[in-house]
Amino acid sequence: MKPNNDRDLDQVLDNPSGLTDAEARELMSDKRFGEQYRTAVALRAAGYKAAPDAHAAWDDLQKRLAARQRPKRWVRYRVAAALAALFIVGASVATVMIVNHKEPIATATPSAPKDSLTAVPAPVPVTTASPGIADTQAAATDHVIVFDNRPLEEIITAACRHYGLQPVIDNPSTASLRLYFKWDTSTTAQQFVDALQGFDAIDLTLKDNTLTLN
Amino acid sequence: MNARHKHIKQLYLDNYATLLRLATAITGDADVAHDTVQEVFVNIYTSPCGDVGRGYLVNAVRNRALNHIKSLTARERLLRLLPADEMVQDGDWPDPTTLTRLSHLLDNGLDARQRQLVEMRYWQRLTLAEIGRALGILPQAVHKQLTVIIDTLRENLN
Repeated sequence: MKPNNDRDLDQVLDNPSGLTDAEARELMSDKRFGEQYRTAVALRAAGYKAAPDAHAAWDDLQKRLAARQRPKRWVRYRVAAALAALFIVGASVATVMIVNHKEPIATATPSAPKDSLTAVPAPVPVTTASPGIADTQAAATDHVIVFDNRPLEEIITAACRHYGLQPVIDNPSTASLRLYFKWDTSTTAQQFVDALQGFDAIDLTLKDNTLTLN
Repeated sequence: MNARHKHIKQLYLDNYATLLRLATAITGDADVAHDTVQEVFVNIYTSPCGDVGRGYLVNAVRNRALNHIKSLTARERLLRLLPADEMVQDGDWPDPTTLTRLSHLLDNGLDARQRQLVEMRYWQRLTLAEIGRALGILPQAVHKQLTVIIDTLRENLN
């Protein structure tokens, strides 16, 4: 379409075929056409007068937030699985190395059966942390697990596994709060809850083997 | 329900309508505007930022809405009656005072027929021919009447 600044806005709006991007820019910067255009844009903008339902929109926001949480949890479980796999491989390598160190003659003999290497039990990692919390990426010393800048949901999940509780997250936004938290795994579930309740924003309920984040 | 959650909810309920109106004015699309407001609040929720106020919300929604229309071509913006770059580059479009005055003029400075024409043309995006068919008049007559309306509104605004 050949640029024609004699055209008015109505003609362009109703017959846009052939209008190129360059022509559109030229028309919008034209003094006469630009005035019509700016007034029409303002008219269009001033026309929106709907009274939206803010409560329904709020519900929609909560659904969006919940949907965003799910992939993160899935990714976290994959990371945990990868770490667990690495741990198993590491433990197996350590077993072989220890056996080689203790029985140098037997393993050096070509006739020694290879199966004898696997007969030695794998060394147990030196930690008192329960296996269920090994994937929390938190530092563990004796009975204390340190969660450094970890999401609350992760802390709750680890504790529920440890105490045999069912976790219920009713408040995804609070669940995503990141905390520095020292957890003494020798304490009771109720003491764990009381310790977390010390945070102003956290409201937990422990009832019937269920730990609920309200 | 914790204090931060309560604060954000109140902030949302108090400001949603205003923010939606602002985003719709810029993007010209109520669905896009709704998404824009929601994304701003998702960011507030998921980032460890402190308390935010109305000023922050208005700026965040405006910037996100402007980013949306910047992704469109000049042709798309013209045909959808979205603001051109030069209209938004100083950061104060849509000027709330002008929009309020224009809204007042639409309500009080036009007769029912004129308001109907504006609504059909600029809000429903009907063509002159479609409006003419609906009202039983020629497209040329619709064009003339719209020209008079726009000139009147422009004079009053100036």
